[in-house]
This record gives sequence, C-alpha cells and structure tokens, in this order.
Amino acid sequence: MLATALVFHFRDAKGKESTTKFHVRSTVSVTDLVDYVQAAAEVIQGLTTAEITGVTVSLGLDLSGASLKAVATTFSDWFNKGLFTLYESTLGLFSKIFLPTWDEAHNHANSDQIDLADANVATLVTILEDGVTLSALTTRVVNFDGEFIDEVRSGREIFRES
Amino acid sequence: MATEIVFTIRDQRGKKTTTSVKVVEHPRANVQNFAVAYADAIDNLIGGVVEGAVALMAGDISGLVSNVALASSDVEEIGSAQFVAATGRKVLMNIPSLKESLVDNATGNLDETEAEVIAFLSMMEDGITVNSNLIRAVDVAEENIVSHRYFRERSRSSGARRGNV
Repeated sequence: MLATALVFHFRDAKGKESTTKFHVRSTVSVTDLVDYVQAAAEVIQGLTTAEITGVTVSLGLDLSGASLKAVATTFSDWFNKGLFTLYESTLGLFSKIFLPTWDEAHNHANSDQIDLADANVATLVTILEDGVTLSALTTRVVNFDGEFIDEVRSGREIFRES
Repeated sequence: MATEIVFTIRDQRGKKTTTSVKVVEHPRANVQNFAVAYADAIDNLIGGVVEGAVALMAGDISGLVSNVALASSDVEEIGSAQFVAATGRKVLMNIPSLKESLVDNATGNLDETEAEVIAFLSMMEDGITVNSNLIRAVDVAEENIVSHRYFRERSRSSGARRGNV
C-alpha cells in the first residue's frame, strides 16, 4: 500500500503558487488524518509568510481485489480515449470523463459512437448512474459541484492528449 | 466535498496517463470498494493496464488563523530540509516563502533554537499525537523519519503550478 501523501499548497502575495509534500503511514485513519492535517498546517504556517491555500490528502487504494489485465493490448494508445458525457438533473449540468486506451470494439460498428448497450459499457454506466454499495452505504459518482450523476447521456471515441 | 479517485493507465508502449472520477465523500472502505468495482469495469473497456489508484481528498485547514500572504512573501525563497528515514533513505522537503526571521544570517541555516523551527523538526522526526494516536512522518516505504542532515535557506524558481484542492 502506498504511504499517504499530504500536499500543502501555498500562494504568495504575487499570486505565485507552490507546494510541499510529505508522507504518513497508510494505516492512519481518515478521522485521525483530518485532525493531523490541521495540526501540521499550523506547524508549517509558523515557517512561511505565504498563505496556505489548501491541503490535498492522497490515499493509496488497494486494487488487488480487482481482476485486471497484466499486459496492455497490442494497439492500446493513451491518445485514444472513450469520452462519456454525464448529466445531473438537480442543476442540469453536464460533466465528462475520459478513459484512455479506449477499445473501439465497444463502439457501434463503423462508428466512433460508443455502444451504451454493450454489456461491458452497461456495467460502467450502472456504476456511474447508481454507484456501488458496501455495508448498506452506496457510494455514488458526483460532478464538480458535488451533485449526483443521474444519467450517462452519450459516449464517443476521441483522439487527443487531454 | 467530493473524493477524487485517480487511476493510472499504461498503454502498450509504456506511456502512462490517468483517468479520474469523483465520488461522494464516504468512509475509506466504501471508496476502496468503489475503486475496485470501477477498475474492473474500465479494465474491460480499455486496452491499457490499470496500474493503480489513489483517492484524493481535501484536508480541512479552516482552523488556521491569520492565514494571509505577507507583502514580502515569495514562494521562490524556500527552506530546504533533508530528512533521513530509519533505513537511511533521504527525504527532501521544501517550505515555500520561508520566514527570513528564522534564518541564521551567518550560516544560512534555519535557527534551530527558534520555536517554529523546533516545532516543525519535532513534527517530522517525532510525530504529532492526535486522538491519542501518535502519527509519524515517514518516507515512501513507510519508514519513520528520524533525523535531519540540514535545514537551510535556498532560492529557486518554482514557477506557477496548478493543483488547487
């Protein structure tokens, strides 16, 4: 498991930004991390004349429970992406996710449009729209505003760096 | 605030990139469970290899007081520290916009009799206790940081960085 990284973000009076980072053990609970971050920020604030604009906590996740391929397929290319357009109905906003190295076998025949009825695509769509449940708690996907995603509106294959 | 899960993907030429999804902020076990299910789902849709995942959360620093940049602040003026882990591995850490008042002008080193410097070095080498649990700073292999070799003032070009929480 990766050590948990704490990244502190700074901004000076001219608006220039910088960061500093250090690690704590991956076994530290989220509850303790919340309090530790506050305490560490106060200590670091004592050394700097900049504004501390935020702290990002990066927790390593264990994917050993997933059944993942170990070797990339022959024509896989990071430039080739599956773009999904997501919609939330509360504010009526759209958002997007990109899946690099998209396999066009999941497109409609002779098309760059992703087949949302494809079995594997449908599995992803269900996760994006309904979330994943553990111990009676359903973890759902949200957009940048924190609103739940209600619908995957469309998907298509694109080619671009970002 | 949302938790962003970032997956690293590697293509057949070894090029790495990422994809991310935001989820509602839930206990670690639930986020972990979601990540496994999502990784399985995208693995069946892509030709690349899902190499790993991290969850990014915003820390709460709302308790900081007087958290305003001074007119003289400059992120290119840094305090550069080299810490040492229990196994001897070196860990570098910089403090942007270092307070000049903490520097020994004769040597350029941070004055280790200053309360703020003492507090920082203690946090990094001895840890902080929260909720009765001692939390230590570690290196990437999760070995405790135990000492430092130097902590001194440096100047460097940092440039503008993205990375807002």
